[in-house]
Amino acid sequence: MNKLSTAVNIAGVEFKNPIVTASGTFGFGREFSEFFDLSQLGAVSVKGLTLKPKAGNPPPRAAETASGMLNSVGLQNPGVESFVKDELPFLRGFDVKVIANMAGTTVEEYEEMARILSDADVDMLEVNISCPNVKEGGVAFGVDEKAVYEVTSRVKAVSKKPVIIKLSPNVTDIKKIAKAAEDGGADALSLINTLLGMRIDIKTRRPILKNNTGGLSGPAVFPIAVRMVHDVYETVSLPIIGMGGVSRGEDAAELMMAGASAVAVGSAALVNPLAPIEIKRGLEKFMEDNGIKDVTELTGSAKMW
Amino acid sequence: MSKATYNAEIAAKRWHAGNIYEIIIECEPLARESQAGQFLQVACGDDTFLRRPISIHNVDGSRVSMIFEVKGRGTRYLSQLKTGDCINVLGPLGNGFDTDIEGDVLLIGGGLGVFPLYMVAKAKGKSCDAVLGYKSARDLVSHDRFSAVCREVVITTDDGSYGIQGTAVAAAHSLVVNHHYKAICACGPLPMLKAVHALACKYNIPAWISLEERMACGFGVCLACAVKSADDDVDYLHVCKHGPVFNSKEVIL
Ligand SMILES: Cc1cc2nc3c(=O)[nH]c(=O)nc-3n(C[C@H](O)[C@H](O)[C@H](O)COP(=O)(O)OP(=O)(O)OC[C@H]3O[C@@H](n4cnc5c(N)ncnc54)[C@H](O)[C@@H]3O)c2cc1C
Ligand SMILES: Cc1cc2nc3c(=O)[nH]c(=O)nc-3n(C[C@H](O)[C@H](O)[C@H](O)COP(=O)(O)O)c2cc1C
Ligand code: FES
Repeated sequence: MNKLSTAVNIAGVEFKNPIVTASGTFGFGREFSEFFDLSQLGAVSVKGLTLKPKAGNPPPRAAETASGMLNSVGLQNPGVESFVKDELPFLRGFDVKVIANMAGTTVEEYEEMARILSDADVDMLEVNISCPNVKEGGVAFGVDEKAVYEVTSRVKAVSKKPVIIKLSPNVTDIKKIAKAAEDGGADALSLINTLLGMRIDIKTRRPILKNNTGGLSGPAVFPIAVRMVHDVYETVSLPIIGMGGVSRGEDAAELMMAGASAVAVGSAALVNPLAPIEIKRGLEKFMEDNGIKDVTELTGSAKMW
Repeated sequence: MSKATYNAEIAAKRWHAGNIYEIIIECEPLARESQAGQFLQVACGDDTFLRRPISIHNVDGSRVSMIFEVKGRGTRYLSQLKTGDCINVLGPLGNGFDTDIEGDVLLIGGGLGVFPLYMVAKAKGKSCDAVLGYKSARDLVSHDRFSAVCREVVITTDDGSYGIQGTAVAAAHSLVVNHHYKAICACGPLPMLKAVHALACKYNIPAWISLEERMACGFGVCLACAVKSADDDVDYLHVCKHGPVFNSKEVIL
């Protein structure tokens, strides 16, 4: 076998391969470490952190949809300090880049978390401005250009680590939002977060989710992710971590051709915990079969008609 | 790296009653690790995205059995599989019932909740009694298996068409007052579990109850399967990871 070059560089941080786990579908790595060696991944993004511990929404929090699922977990997490103390050391036992995903309700909270996490042993910060499942904050920041610029620039001002801004697909024009993040000084972008949806139980005439609405993810959203990654790739010159419905190696290749430099796997790993590894191998097989020596060749290589 | 998914062959499949089927899979590593009250996440074909949680009913040598009722798309798919077909399962998952409890144990099962108790019955044998509640005589499934291993088995039906008319917990009451049970193990619909908790509190017996909640992953990463914790310092516990079997005092039903 010819030696494949699978390493990618995201804002100065080298991932040994482009496969990342998506935030919220990976916990803090302990459970997945029982299925495979986490060092096989390029990077991991941990469950979304908030400044203080967060209980999350009442159950039911998950509903199946055609080729996907809705979730309304609502950012349940132990808080940023407990993460640094109790969870991060475990992850640091693996040779994998660690991305700390965080969400705030005010700009000051985002700043405070960026300070705390900058001093912690994480490689990158991922700023979630796109969670559809929390009332205040979250997506409220992600749908308004001015707010995106504001959060990005203020987090950047205090952060000692590269900052990834995670974009919401629940916007009219994702290009404008991406541009605002770039103007604010973002080092990289990740997209897409989940799309707002709802399911109703026709027997009870009640939404399945106790939160009524939830975020749609899984293969159902893949074509939206491909289009949005492409749009953003055309608009900004930042590296993109693409995600949304990736479930096999070919999907990863496709999202990279649309413009992603790395690819995160979310819902697919909830159904098949080995999905991240299988997707990584599938991508390598695609490279071998097609004579691609360096994975970075794929990024943005799709030619539009 | 101890957990895995398995492609397992269906060694036998049988129809029990109404919409209730049993699937027995051949899967040595799974059989070796499975404990009473644990569950599997079962892939249900291309028309479903999420796996379906189904409890382990029995382990026999290298075979693992599940009994389930057809509710929707996923369980319908399972009901249509044939001997020799393969299914992909993830597990065993969750914390099951403690079968090492010293002394007598009372099992209380309602409807589909009867099936996950069978491994406890096998383990405890003549030091356990069981009260099994069904809707009607037509729905009686697997009660004979309990009769073969337990000391005493009481059957109740809602309509009185078999055994004692009434709820399983009402029948359990008279057993509890006449025995010194060290624990109650229960599985069934939520109102039944609430009644079990009340009974257990009244007679100061620890009750271990198996809960259900909608799941995505089943192995503790997505945080979908939340249940309110009774501990003031903890908001939610997770059915797939901390359960599905809980001490009834740990959770708020
Ligand atoms: C830990 C655990 C153990 C279980 N053990 C058994 C068992 O041994 N035998 C049995 O017959 N049933 C059992 N169930 C219930 C079983 O999981 C559901 O009946 C099944 O998921 C329904 O799937 P469906 O596609 O047929 O129905 P649909 O209604 O089409 O399912 C749609 C979605 O809702 C979820 N869902 C629907 N009902 C339930 C429910 N009661 N609990 C959790 N999720 C649900 C499904 O998993 C799926 O994601 C168990 C549930 C849990 C949580
Ligand atoms: C159960 C669940 C929880 C999630 N939690 C978070 C979160 O805490 N923070 C975040 O930025 N994204 C979160 N997401 C979004 C994912 O990271 C990802 O952007 C989205 O699911 C699309 O990818 P997928 O289709 O591969 O799952 C969550 C998704 C799911 C399904
Ligand atoms: S179902 Fe995912 S944590 Fe329980």
